[in-house]
Amino acid sequence: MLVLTRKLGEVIRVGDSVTVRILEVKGNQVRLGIEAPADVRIYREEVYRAIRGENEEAALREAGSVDEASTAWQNQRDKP
Amino acid sequence: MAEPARQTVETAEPIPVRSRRFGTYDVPVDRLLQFPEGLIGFPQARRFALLDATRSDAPFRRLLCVDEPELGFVVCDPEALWPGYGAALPPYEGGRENLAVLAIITIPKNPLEMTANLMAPLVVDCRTRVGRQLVLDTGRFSTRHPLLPPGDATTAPAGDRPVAR
Repeated sequence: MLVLTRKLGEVIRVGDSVTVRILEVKGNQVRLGIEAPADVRIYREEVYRAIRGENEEAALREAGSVDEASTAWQNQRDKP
Repeated sequence: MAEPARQTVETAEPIPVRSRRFGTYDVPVDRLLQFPEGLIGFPQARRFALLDATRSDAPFRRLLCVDEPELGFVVCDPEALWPGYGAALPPYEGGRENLAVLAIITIPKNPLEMTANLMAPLVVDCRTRVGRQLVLDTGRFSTRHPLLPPGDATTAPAGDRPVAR
């Protein structure tokens, strides 16, 4: 991990196209301004991990799951 | 000397896929969905086939990966289950009318507890068949939105209730 220390207002450049600016520091919160081309995806890490985890969880372990889901769906729908 | 075989897209052979999990099937080249960035956590899964629902009575389709034949997902049209969902998506410069939206469904051991990932839908441009997984990090949607009311149905936030059809 590369560790840098920046002051308020200073900037970090990642590659040629991404910059991160320290906009505000308040207590233990830091507000960052990130400029990047539209094709560079930026995520809060915990959100990225949650989605990755959910994708992994959702990946089918067996083909039959779809039919089980369909049956469950249909049974719920048929309830009065 | 024989000329090398040339194939145009219209006459290209369908791509055969052999999966232990999902069986053997062919995908016409013009039916492939391309995800250049893959899915989040699956960056190499780039080409997919969206197969029709195995049963017409349920809103589920199978999204199977051609590049990784053992990788597949159940997806639904979130707008069909939660009308108005599409309006929450950010604007698309290619035109919203050209965008197809899918939500990946997680089916746990008890299928009644199945959930849809409404925070990270798949969006595909119907004209190019190129798509990506979008992240809606607004706090409004869940990665695990229940499809079924679990008996007493209090988990779905007001306004996001699945529509009984």
